[in-house]
Amino acid sequence: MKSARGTPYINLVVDTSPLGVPYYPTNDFGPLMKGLVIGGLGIFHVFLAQFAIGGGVLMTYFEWLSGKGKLPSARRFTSGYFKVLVLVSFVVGALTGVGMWFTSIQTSPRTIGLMVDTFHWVWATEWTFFSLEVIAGYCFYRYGDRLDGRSRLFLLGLYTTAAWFSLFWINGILSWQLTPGAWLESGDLWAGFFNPTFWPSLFFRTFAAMAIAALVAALVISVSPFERDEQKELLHRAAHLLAPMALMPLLGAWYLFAMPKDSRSWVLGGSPAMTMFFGLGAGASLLVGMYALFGLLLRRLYINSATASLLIVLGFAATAGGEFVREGARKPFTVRETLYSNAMTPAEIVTMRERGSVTHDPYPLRDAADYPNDQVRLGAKVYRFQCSVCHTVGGVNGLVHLAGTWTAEQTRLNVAKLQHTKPFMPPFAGTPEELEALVRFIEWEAASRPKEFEVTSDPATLAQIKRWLDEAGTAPGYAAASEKKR
Amino acid sequence: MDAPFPFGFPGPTAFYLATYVLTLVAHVVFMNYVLAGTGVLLFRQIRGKAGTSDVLADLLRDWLPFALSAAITAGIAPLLFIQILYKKAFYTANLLLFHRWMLILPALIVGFYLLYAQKTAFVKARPRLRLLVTTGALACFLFTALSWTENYLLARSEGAWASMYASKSMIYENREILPRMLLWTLGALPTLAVLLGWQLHRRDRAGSPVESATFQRVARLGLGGLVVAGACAAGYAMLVGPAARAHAVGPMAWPWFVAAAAGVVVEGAGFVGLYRAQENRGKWLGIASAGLLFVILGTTVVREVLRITAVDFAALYAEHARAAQVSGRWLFLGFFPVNAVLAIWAIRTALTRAERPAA
Repeated sequence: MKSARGTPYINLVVDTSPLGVPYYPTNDFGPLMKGLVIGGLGIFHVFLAQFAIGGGVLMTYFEWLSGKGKLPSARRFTSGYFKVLVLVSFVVGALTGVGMWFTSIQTSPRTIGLMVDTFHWVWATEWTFFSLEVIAGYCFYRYGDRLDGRSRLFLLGLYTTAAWFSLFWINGILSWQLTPGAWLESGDLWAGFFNPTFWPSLFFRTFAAMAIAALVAALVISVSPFERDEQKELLHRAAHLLAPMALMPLLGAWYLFAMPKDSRSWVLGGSPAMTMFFGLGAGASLLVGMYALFGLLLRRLYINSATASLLIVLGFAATAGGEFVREGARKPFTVRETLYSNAMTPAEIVTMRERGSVTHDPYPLRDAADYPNDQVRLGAKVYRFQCSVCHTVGGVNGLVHLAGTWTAEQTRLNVAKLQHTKPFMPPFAGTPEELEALVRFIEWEAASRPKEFEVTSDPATLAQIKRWLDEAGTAPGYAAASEKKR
Repeated sequence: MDAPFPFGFPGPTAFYLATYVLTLVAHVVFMNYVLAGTGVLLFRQIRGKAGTSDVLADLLRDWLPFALSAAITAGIAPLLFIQILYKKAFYTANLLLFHRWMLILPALIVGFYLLYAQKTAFVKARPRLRLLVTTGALACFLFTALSWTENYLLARSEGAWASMYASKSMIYENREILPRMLLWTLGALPTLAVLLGWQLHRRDRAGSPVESATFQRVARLGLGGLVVAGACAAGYAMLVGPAARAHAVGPMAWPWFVAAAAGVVVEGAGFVGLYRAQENRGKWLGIASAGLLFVILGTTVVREVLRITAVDFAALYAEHARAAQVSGRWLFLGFFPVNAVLAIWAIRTALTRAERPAA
């Protein structure tokens, strides 16, 4: 059993196959990039889950105001709002949560497997909080209208606390993926859980949850049969939950500076897509924040259902931007310095350079007869194993679009030194023969899949590829760049 | 593996197996309520006469959405532990079934909303629409049950993986699928009967009298469920072949098999008592519940033994041992009782402090 940097965590990701690599059947998502599928579902789920948490905070706050006699219409609002929360969040939110597991398995079974192995007791603990959240929530949903104020406040408080702790546990697991911190050295669970981005991420998500809940509240209030004055007062009170947004820039900066340097560089200009999503998240948050300040807190503007809907869309855009950045900034890893985005460990890449990456893959190619020769078939297998998690052939982030116009020599060099070509790419993990096969596969696809296609086997070419692979090494690209700067 | 389950396995494996089975039992209780409850609701809607009140249908309509939510919530824990126990097999089956498998999520969402739609005045007032809505919900849940059955059988059939992948098929063909699904679906009826019995009993004691005929109907449902599920189990046992039959009553499973069989007898006695009782129904429901617990626990363990003996389980011990090395177990064991107490407190608060609705 090999271990990267001598750490014990790697023990969790071995398999009984000859290479110690588990091979899974890989599905083709057609023109859709797998990351888009999981990203899309993830953003939707995060938005709903945060709504459930913030909704609890909002209703507890309103119930407290009602108990103090400061907001007479609060109880009526809370009952209506909770129905929305149950119908949306308890149903779609809960199921998209399960969906996240299933989609993660479809995208990268090994990554989710490592996460489960490492944090299963944290996840199990989170499940006890989620169960409490559902039970307290349903008790309120069914009996809330017939309960006294104190009991209502107790149930809502319990619901909110459980929901927030659910976030607390999941946040530790998700932030560990980007910044595993001292876990890399010690393998200690708590070192990984309370990692460098844990706290900024937790506070940021908490405030985002409160903001989303306030925006949904604005919509519910605006479509509910309240008197105009009641609506204004409810809106003003709900907007109090938007006030912590003022701290979001600071938390965002804290999060950014807690990130690894290379990840930060993707966000701040190194990767146009990521920078754009960062800008989208920040811009949408800013717009929501400004409306909250002028419209709701300072009461200069009124909010109707159309404006409230628009603000929710902006809130969704901000969530989408933030989640895209969080997912993208991990590149070239899914778990920093442990598993590359194509689910290989750094140590395995060393072995695969010698023994091949797909030699022991038990899954045949689908439509193997469509390929013109064994070399292209091998290339297709290498593509499936190493590239298909982030790339398609001709669709989104397609290899043909990216490399179809390169010369053969250029493709060989760029793939052999992949982590230097693009520092958010993992190193190529295979033999020179596999690399040459991948190059031929790309060329064959770029040539619109001709029936006849020449097999290349020039020993000099393979020797050159080997030299390039050796020069590139197996360390991630950002490590080499840091070395160079030094 | 000559010791009764979960003994005879290395410590970590036994621990994860026991945790998996116990959490799965909790999921099965709610799942049975949803699956059988939706079926019974549909049956009663088809048989029911317009304008007549139906206590059972009303109860089911009212509680099915919560039961589904509880089933999903309770299902998360076994879903977690199955990933520790059979990671590669479970993931591979998920991947091979692909879109088919992922479809259970929209199916459950649609089923969930259809159950809520049942409660609306709009649907209640339209008998044909009501039938359509319930049929839709039942179809969603049966599809989910079918998918899980396929997933379970595919995960333990490693020899079929590569050829299924090459064939691009997202349907796993196995002659066990439908009989197995039938067994689990009909086996859900006694669970429903016990839970409905308790709900009616509580209502009765809370001052809303329930007719004896309604309790008898529930008892008949439970007894009928036991008979048809027993017949299905016998048929399924004939189908699976001698090796699986031998494992089901082999050293690992026999105490659990006996427990399940004894549970059937106890449960049956409880239902008979409930059918005859004019008072003290709680006693008979308690007996039926005890029997039910043995049946569910016993059958769940036998199911697991059949999986364990169908795969190279010993090869997975090392993986379980590695997973057991990570810390956090005490975190779970600490928070589990705390949150359970809080949950009971919440339920108690709701049940005892809520004003009774006007009759």
